[in-house]
Amino acid sequence: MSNHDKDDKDLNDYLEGNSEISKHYRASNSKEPSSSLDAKILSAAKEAVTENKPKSKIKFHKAPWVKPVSIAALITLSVSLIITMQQETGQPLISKPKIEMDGVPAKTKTQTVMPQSLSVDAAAPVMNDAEVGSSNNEPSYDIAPAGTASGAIGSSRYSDQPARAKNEVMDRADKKMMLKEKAQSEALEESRLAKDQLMQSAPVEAEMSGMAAMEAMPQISKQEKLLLEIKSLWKDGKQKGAKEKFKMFLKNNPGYSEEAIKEILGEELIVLLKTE
Amino acid sequence: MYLCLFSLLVAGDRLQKMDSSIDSDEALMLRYAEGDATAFEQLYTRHKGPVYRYMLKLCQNEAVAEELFQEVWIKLINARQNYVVSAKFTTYLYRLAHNKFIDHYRKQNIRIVTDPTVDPETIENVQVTDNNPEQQVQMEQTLDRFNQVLDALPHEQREVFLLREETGMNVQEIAETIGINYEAAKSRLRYAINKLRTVMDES
Repeated sequence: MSNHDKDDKDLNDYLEGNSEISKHYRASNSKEPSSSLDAKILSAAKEAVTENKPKSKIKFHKAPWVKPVSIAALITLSVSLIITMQQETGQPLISKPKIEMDGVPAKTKTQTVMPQSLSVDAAAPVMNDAEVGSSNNEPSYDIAPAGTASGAIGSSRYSDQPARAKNEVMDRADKKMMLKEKAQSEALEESRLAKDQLMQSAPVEAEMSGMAAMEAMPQISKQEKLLLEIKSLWKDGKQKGAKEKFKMFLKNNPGYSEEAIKEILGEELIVLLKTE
Repeated sequence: MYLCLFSLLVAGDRLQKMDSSIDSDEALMLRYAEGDATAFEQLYTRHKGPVYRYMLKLCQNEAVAEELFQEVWIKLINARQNYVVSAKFTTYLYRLAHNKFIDHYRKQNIRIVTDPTVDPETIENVQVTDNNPEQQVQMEQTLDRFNQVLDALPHEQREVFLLREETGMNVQEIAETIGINYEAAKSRLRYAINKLRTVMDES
């Protein structure tokens, strides 16, 4: 048997487990790592696993879909917020309509609003006049009580409904000219009506022209306002105050038509106010 | 009565052994990659001794062996998420250990070349005298001699022998682990066995 064959035989014996070599090796080599080394490695393994958990969360935040989704959510939220605010205030937050508003001349604004106020002022005792309501297209005039309506009558009319008036003007910006013409014609018609009433109630004022009557309207409305206040005071049970105010009214407005006073206060109330 | 108790104990022991054998090394490693630290503990308990002895016998220096041993396991910990079951876990683990040793060996060689005052012969002599086999009994003397011969083997032959002894790998698996062909692995093992055989013959 050659050396090579003997070596092969030894190798095969060894691989089959029939050799003393393995026994010798195992008998002299049974060392294990120290317990401190074990603890070090095991703690490193545990730390690596616990550290990995927050890392996975970071990965989630860094996911590629997070950015576009967050942008979309932001846009949706902001649009819904704008719409909600717009609905709540009744005023558009976009500046474009405002520019259109500014483009409308001041006279046009007054002309479009004034006839309405005139018509209401003229028909102050009958505030829920169907014509007034229909011409305004604003249900608030119909349902408004006389006391509050009188507060709204006159100079504060336009400022009470700024947002809605602006909205309407903005919505009808393209029909601006048509509205202007319509408003002018309505104003003339209303002024004629007011003139007729003035002719009946106050002869001095009846001599005024139509435009002059329009200018006198705030004074009349002031007197009417006073009468309405007296009426409301009486209703509230403040008879003494109402009587004093009525006295002052008669003193300050000696030429004021009794008919007009009757229309507002009524005959019974006038009698009661005059009694001491 | 005692017989019943004994049979129950034996049965329990068998069941325990079955439970532990259900989790293969690969399954444990995958569980650890998913975050189960106990799986790593099991894996480590199974392999710590063989890997440690493999390193110790290769390096022939306890401090260096401990350092490399630790590095191997840390590398395994860090590579857990990239672990794919493409081969036996032991092949994977000992490939890490082999690469660690090779890196260390290359660094050592560089240091020896750059430091001419160090004489490798002197180091060997010191190691031999440290064993002091004269004060041991016959068997211990034989074992010492065996270890001396083993330690004196070229590291390539020693490594092949250690892989066989510590892991029970066959020649093909050894070849795959250290990245050589089958014939080279077989040749290295043959030389190692032949030299160790001489110790047996002497005793």
